[in-house]
Amino acid sequence: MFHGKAIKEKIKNGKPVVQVMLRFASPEIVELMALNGVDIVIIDNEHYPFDPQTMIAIARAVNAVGGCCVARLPNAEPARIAQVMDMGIDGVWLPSCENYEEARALVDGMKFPPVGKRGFCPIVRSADYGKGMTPSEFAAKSNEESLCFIQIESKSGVEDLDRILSIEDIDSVAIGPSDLSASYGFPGDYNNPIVTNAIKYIKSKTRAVGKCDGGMFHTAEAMAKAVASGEHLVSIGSDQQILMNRTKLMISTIQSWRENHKIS
Amino acid sequence: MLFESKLKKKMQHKKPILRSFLRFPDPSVAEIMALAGVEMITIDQEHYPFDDEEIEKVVRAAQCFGSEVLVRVPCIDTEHIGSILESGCTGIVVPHVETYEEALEVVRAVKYSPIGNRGFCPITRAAFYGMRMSPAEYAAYANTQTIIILMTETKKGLENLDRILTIPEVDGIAIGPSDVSASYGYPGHPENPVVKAAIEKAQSQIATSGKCLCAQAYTIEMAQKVLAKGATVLNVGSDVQLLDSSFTNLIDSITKITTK
Amino acid sequence: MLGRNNIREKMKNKEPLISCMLRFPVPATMEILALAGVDLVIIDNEHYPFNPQTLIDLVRAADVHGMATCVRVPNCEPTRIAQIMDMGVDGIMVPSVDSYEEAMQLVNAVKYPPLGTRGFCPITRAASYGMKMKPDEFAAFSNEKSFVIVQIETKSGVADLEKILSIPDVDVIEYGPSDLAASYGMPGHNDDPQIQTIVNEIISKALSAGKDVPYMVHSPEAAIEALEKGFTHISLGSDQQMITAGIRALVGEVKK
Repeated sequence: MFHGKAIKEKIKNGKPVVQVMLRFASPEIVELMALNGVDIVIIDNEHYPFDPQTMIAIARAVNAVGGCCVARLPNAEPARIAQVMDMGIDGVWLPSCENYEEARALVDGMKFPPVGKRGFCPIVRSADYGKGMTPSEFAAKSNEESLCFIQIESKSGVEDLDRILSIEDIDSVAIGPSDLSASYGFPGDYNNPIVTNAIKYIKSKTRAVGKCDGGMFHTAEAMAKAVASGEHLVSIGSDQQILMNRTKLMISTIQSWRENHKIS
Repeated sequence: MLFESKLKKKMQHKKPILRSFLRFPDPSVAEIMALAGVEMITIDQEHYPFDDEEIEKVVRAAQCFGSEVLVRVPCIDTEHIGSILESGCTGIVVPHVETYEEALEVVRAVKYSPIGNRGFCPITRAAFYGMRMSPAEYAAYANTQTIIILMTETKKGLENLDRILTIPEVDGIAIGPSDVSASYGYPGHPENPVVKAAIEKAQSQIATSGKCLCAQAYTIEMAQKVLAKGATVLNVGSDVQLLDSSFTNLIDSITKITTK
Repeated sequence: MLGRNNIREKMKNKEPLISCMLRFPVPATMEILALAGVDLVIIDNEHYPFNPQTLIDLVRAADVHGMATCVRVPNCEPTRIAQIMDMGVDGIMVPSVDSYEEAMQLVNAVKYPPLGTRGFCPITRAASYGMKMKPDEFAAFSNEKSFVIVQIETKSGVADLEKILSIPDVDVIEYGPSDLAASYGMPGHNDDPQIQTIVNEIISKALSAGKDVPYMVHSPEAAIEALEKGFTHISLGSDQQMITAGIRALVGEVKK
């Protein structure tokens, strides 16, 4: 079962693709999001706890309503990548990609030979348990459709960006402003010029080689601006942020009214 | 670590802390421990299987009744340590630390820049979901609150203790007598004079340093002995041990009556 | 945790409150709602599936931040209500309460003797595993702190409203406009003047009887309208509605 080709074609044809970071381990929320137009759900297993069985439940939920699932893993450890791909998850997102070697390790971990070095078991869930595809068809389709996303979050990643971008199988390069700011010595200081210049550099280099830069936006205005400027792969934040922003809006409305009418 | 850590303050002032190990992945056990007065609940992820999602549940449960949680991790794995800390636990216990360099690696995994290089995500549970402080405030705050306890369990570890004790971010050290005796060539014999001397020297080094000596206190006698040695973090046993001893003693006594 | 934030007293005194329904079993959601300022979460176990162990974890997530919890159960079946109260929730809500007898059945299921007939186990989580209070102290404490929400959604419920309102241990009245409209033979016509009149009557009679009546809103504008009408207890709808509203707005910008 593969869902990456449809995504890649949408991007190629200039159609916007919406992705959301998933922080709540909830197949229900995933279904809700995919039914409301989210194309890719990214399981954030870098900073949030998702046990393997929960990950499959989430993949099943999103696939059943026509969406695609990618897992953000803490590192490019090959056994972990292979396990996630075997489950039928459509791709892997590698955070904190420091250099060419790590990006190469991601591709090697995700793709079967000759493109990569992933271990081969053609009867896993990803291969529809061996039904309807020959092993070689499975290997070829998996390589073609799997989504390879990386994230640059550090000074060393910025410094090796040219080499990283030379890897054809990398589909998108996202930026991690939190860790990036920390790596330059300014944790949380997102407006520091050193940090903002690094972000601009990553975006322009990525677009210059025809790859997606997976921008993250948290407001409808920022999103509309990005889409108007030609961004295809648009991250609309996370389930956590969406819930939080809406809740805060409602509660601040109520609390300000009460404050203004002296009710406490 | 959603709140100001009472444990961190107590450790800084070397006040006695009651500690227990949690081996059943059940939040109710943590709640009962907390209600009984266990202040520091240490999840034993070194020897027992805990799902990552379970760890967060146990941390919540302990916090409901005023306790804090540390997690004993299997090894020094920076990403794993970082992700465990996102649960909101107060700190990490690392076994088998043998060198100054390994101790520094733990500090780097637990603390944010500029002290360390813990992955920065200021909107997880540990960071109040980003709802209480700015990211920069949170990074600084977390660095002041997180607790690091190292376990030195080998001859090499004890020999490097002096250097390890110079690291300001390490809060407490525990010595594992069984592993130490094995590493001296006397497995199962911590009372061996060579082993005993080495352990006592190490205990004294820790107790006289600015760090807390963490020790086993399974009985009142053991507690008195280690308190006299300057220990302040007292491990009263684990859920497994306490359940075992309670049941065994009770059933033994009843069996004696029923088989009369 | 039962009694920790005195929610029953706050409802009685008509203190300003914010509540919200929970439909997805995510403990982090509970914590976020609590940190955002929600006073009470009602877990919707009428229409949505929740495993018992998950319910306890959800309650714990609220307890860490001092937020009150309530569970909406499908009916007044006493053993399910007792099991849920034993977890440490503050209250129970039952939909479609059609008669005084049913409302009394609910109160009996939530309260211990002499106020009710709930089965007694003083070492559950709600009783801090028996480690904080003597059994009789806990029974009195639970009876004092626990609350009951009755939802009037049918013609027969409306007919018996005054009798239901006379029960002292019924604390909160909610109404269901959709079910009411259906019950009066007008499914889908929530805005019909006849239904609106019935809803307004339920609200005013309940308020006059000293009961708390929350007003559900789905937008900031509706919240202000409710506050201006004098409602002190505002319900934000549910996590599902809030996530849906948020996602639609954002996806809508991208895929116009």
